[in-house]
Amino acid sequence: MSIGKYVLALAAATACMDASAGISWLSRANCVAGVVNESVTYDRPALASHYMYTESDHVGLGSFGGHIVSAPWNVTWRSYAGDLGDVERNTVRGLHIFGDDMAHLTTRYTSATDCNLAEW
Amino acid sequence: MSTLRKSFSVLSAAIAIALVTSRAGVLSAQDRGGELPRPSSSAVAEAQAEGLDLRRLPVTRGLHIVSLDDSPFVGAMALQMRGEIAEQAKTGTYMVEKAKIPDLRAAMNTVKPARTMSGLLNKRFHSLADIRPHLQYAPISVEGTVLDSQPMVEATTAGGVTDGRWSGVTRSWDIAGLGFVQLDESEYRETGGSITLVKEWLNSDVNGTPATLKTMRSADGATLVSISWVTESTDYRLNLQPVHADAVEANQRALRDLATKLGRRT
Repeated sequence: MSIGKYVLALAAATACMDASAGISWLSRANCVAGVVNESVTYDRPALASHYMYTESDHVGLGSFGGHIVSAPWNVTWRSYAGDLGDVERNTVRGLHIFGDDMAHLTTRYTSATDCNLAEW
Repeated sequence: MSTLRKSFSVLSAAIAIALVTSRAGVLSAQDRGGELPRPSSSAVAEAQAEGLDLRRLPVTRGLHIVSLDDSPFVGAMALQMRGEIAEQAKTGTYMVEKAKIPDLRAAMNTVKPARTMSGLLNKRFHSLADIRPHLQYAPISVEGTVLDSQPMVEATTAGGVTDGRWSGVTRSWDIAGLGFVQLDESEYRETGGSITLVKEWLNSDVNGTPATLKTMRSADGATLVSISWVTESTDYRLNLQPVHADAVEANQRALRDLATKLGRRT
């Protein structure tokens, strides 16, 4: 394991935060001229950090399969997995995993075909 | 004819390859036949190095209670958890770094309204009536509890959003003599997903539902008391930043007592 990995592992093991209070998750598809696709796990407005992982699967309309982007395991208030540049319309499916001071682990799923503009 | 047949074969092969290569991507994010999608292989490898074995995540929706040995927590992380569980059982508290204990009051002051998109979208609310239209379900009632005797400090949406309505809510109160109380809840039966609880951490109950009751403390005295429990529909957690941090048993007793009284009246 590299030093960087070790530091991250140590941070994850020792600095996983408090409660999962306030954690939200969403996916967005075809935003901003239709090219932004993303899935996000976050704690707002408290901005409290938690152990989070997010994966976002983007599948173009009529395609057999798409591509996956992910945000690495991290202690953060916002775990973002997204990209831009897909010219075709996409369905975005998100996988969101977060820990509640490691007494329990929550896994949630999202799916979007629009921009979910009700949320930032 | 031969050219046509060759073209058809190439097309068939291309479709077959597309189906095979797309399988991983589709599986990673679709719920197929009740079985939950799995994290990508790269995520599994990465998490493994950090103390989480994602291959042990539940394959079905709902609540899963597993022993620490069978949980996704492995290596140093599992070792640390085992130590904290033992310390909590032995002393009623366990020590952590200060960074692990949130300042619940300070969290109220982040992201000032009107200076961000959050403010513009009015994510902070100050009564159940105000936030209710933004939720997918009716939050648990606090009527008849000590929380009902004080004005709510704040309520914020949480969880997942569908058609502008959320699956969770976090509410907070400042209770004289007890401390700052935060009630977090997130519905999961209708909105999907899975929750994995570590059996060894279940050291209490809320009206018969297994619960985790614990007190985290840091060397400088920062304290967070919490009780969390998961019903067949909802994930609940009460946090307390107590006025009297040294009254460990009294704080835990008060928080559990509060938890048992939630939802009795509607």
